[in-house]
Amino acid sequence: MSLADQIGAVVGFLLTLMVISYLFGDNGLFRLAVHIFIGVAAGFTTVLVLDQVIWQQTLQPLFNKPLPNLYLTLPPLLLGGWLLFKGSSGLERLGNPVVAFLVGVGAATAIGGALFGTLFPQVETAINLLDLQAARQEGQLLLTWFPNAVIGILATVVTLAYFQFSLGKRYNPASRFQLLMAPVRNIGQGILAITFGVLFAGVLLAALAAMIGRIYFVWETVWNWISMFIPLQ
Amino acid sequence: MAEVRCPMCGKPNPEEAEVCIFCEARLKPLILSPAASEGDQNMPDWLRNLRSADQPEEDQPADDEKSAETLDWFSSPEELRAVEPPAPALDSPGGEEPVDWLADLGSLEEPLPEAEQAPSMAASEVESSEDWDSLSDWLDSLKQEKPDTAPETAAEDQLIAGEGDLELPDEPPLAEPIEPVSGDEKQSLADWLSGATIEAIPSEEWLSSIESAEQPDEALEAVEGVEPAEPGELPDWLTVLAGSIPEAIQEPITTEPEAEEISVASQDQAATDTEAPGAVDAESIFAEIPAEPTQELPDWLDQIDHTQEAMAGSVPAFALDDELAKLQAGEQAALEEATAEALSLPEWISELTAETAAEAPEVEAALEDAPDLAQAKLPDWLEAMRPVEAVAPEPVFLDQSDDHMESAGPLAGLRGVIPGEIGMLAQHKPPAYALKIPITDDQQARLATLQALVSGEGQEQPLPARPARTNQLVLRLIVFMLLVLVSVAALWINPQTPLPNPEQIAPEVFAVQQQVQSLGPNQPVLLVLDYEPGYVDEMNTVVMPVLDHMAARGAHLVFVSTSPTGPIIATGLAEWIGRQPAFANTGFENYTNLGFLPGGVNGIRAFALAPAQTLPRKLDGSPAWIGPLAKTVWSLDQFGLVVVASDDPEGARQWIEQAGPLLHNKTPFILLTSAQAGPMVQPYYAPPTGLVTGLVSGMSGGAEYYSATSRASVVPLYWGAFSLALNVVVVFIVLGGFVSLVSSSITTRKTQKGEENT
Repeated sequence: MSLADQIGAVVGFLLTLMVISYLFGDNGLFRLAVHIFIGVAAGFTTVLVLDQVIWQQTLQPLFNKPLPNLYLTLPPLLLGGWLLFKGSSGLERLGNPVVAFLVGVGAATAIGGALFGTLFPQVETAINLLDLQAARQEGQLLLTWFPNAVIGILATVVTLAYFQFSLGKRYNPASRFQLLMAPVRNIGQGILAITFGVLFAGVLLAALAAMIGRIYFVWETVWNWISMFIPLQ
Repeated sequence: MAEVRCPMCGKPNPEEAEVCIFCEARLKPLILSPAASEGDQNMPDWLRNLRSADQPEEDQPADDEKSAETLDWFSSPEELRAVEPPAPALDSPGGEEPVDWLADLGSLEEPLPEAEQAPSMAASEVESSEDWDSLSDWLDSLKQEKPDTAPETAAEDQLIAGEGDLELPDEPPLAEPIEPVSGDEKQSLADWLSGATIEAIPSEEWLSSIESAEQPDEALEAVEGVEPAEPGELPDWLTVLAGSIPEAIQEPITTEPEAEEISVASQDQAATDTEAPGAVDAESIFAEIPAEPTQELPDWLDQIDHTQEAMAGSVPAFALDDELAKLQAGEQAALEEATAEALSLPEWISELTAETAAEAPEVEAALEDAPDLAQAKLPDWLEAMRPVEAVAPEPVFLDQSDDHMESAGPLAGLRGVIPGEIGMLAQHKPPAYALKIPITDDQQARLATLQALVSGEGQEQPLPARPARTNQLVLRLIVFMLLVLVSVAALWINPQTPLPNPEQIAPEVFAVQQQVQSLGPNQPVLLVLDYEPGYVDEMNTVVMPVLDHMAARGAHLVFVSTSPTGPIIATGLAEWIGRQPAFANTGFENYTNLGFLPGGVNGIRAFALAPAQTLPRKLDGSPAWIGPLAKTVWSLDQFGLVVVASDDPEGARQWIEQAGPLLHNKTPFILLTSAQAGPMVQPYYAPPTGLVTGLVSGMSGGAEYYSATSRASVVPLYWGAFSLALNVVVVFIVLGGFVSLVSSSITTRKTQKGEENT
């Protein structure tokens, strides 16, 4: 283990203890650890952006081969400089076009991705749940495949039915349709509750794994230090 | 029942009433008619009036029914004749009307002596009655012996009655027809009245006739002994006569018309004096009469006749107004001039007026003592001229059809008021609305609460002291310590916790294994590291076996990250691979670290479309797209495998949405996620149409992949402790749920019991 690794280990050990001290409530050690983390992260990000983005991807190509790279480097430079007007309280309105460009491009990307990456594929997947040929190709048994498919489709429909929040002008809570939809919404609400429970379980597993990892790090560090002074078999 | 309106107050009275029951004014005039009593036949009118005032009202002649005017001794003889049938005035001037003109004159003269002699009226009343009788006898005799004077007297009477006006030849037509009087008669009367034309007074004849007649008694003697009164003094005979003034006289006349009558009375007095046989020196009397009255008959005197006959019922204040309008301008001017002259009283009259005014209280006192006295009978035109203050506060005309008297409001006490809606409102008292708003107890309590909240808003309230140790802190410490002990024990003991059966791994994990196994040497594999350093321990259990497997297959790994710390993580992973036994000697160099990908989702899209243009250089600045990456310069689907490692489901979804469709189902897309992101990205794994072809999620997935591939991983170090800690956590969750359920049920039961008890 090199010196950097050793120093890193010690610093990591201390920071770990400082974060674990939150077990006793909010205290100075925990805040110190948080502040250190935020500072280091912000600094590292700044350096990385300056080096990786501004210098290597924008300025360096412009200095080395300006003409071929001009169409790639000049627009980002100009728009980036134009966006700096948002930092001034009096001239912030000048940066609105750039912000509008960014928001528009981001919205288009997100909407396109949601449609072609999530909505359409999910609908196709829900439809293909009852594809018997696909199930056979996958080697699924009919006895397990069909109930799974039906449950999957019903759960999807019932969960979507729970999200009906529009009432309309002719809403009548005592109507037959509303009386029929009431239990459907309750089932969908139950499925959502199960989903949230699963999500919570995943978060718990992730946290537990992180804790185990930290405990192991602390144990290993302490054990190494002890072994340095006390030879252990 | 027919009603008669009182000329004084205007109130209705019974038809047979002689005197008004309200103001005791005379309702029926005293008219000398053939049906009069024998004793009154030869009595002049003015004398008769005086005597009738003493008598009760029932004795009054019934001929007064037609007259609605007050006929008292004070009224002019013209008024008396106005209510009588006109025939007797002309047909029998001498018989039925004994000395009308004289009686009229006497009636006009009466007010003067009455005012002075009012205190002694009651005392001398009896004594004067006999005097009146004697006086009346010789006056009647005068009338009988002078038939030639009858026409004159009649003419004069007619003239006085206003039937003619010598000075106004162009007399306008009057409202009521008036009997025409011959001009000669008018002239004779006018001459006599004016005094200047008193020439052919057959004094000798009537005086001689008077001498032959019976001598009057004491009253006549008194009259004979009367010396010409000096200006300003009443003659003696008038003073004697004033002693027997009936009670009809109540108020002295102080108005100007009174002065007119006084002046006329003075003239009449003079005429009377001249007619009195032997008792009065006519010439001396007439000599005393001031010559101020003009030679011509005053116009006002003529107007009096006109106006009196034209009147019927209530007398207007100034009846001359209507008639004046009919007159021409010249006539009007002359009339006004005559009126002015008539208003100019002689001195003796003015003095008399002053004395009369001074004696008014005495007169009133005497009247009070003598309730039997008849009220003074003022002529209508004179009464109309009385000031408003002297009249009783009662309307002249009252609409008796509406007897409603206003009882409320500013018009209280008045009759004939138009009833309005106010009367309806006055039927009930308007409701009194309370200004206070009724507030219930509940509202009052809420109001107090709100006030307390508002008032306490600005006040500093001490925070409750937090205890040093709470139940949650103790429980937290216990759980932590237990977990730590289990973990340390597991790490110390290293129990051989069984790993998942490779035969029973998840399909998505098996798919990843298959896809990595299909990689060839130097085949570029894009490895996206979008997780934070805090999740390195967990992600390492997932990424390391896959990474080790790919490295073992000889794939060229291309690291890229949308997180700033991603390149650092990539470097560490590369160094870990190099420390593996397979690369212990040579190290691991078959990778490219493209570094940080900026722009978020836009950067991902741009990298997916043109990776070489988006990130042309490595992390160290050297060109990246050379060698094995030269084939993947233009598109992402040239990669052999795309692996996305993310602890955040959002990051994973972005790569799936932006890069997945561009792979065209040619390049496998594998997700290596944390346990918390696994359920969220699980739907994307849907073979054969799903965008994600393989999924390894959490430490359990890593353990499965490790069990299936037996690649280098940290899973064996953490798996035992992880399994034991997970069991402890499950126990705690179950116990906690059970305890929560029991406590909530107990609390609910206590609440229900409390509600039942209340």
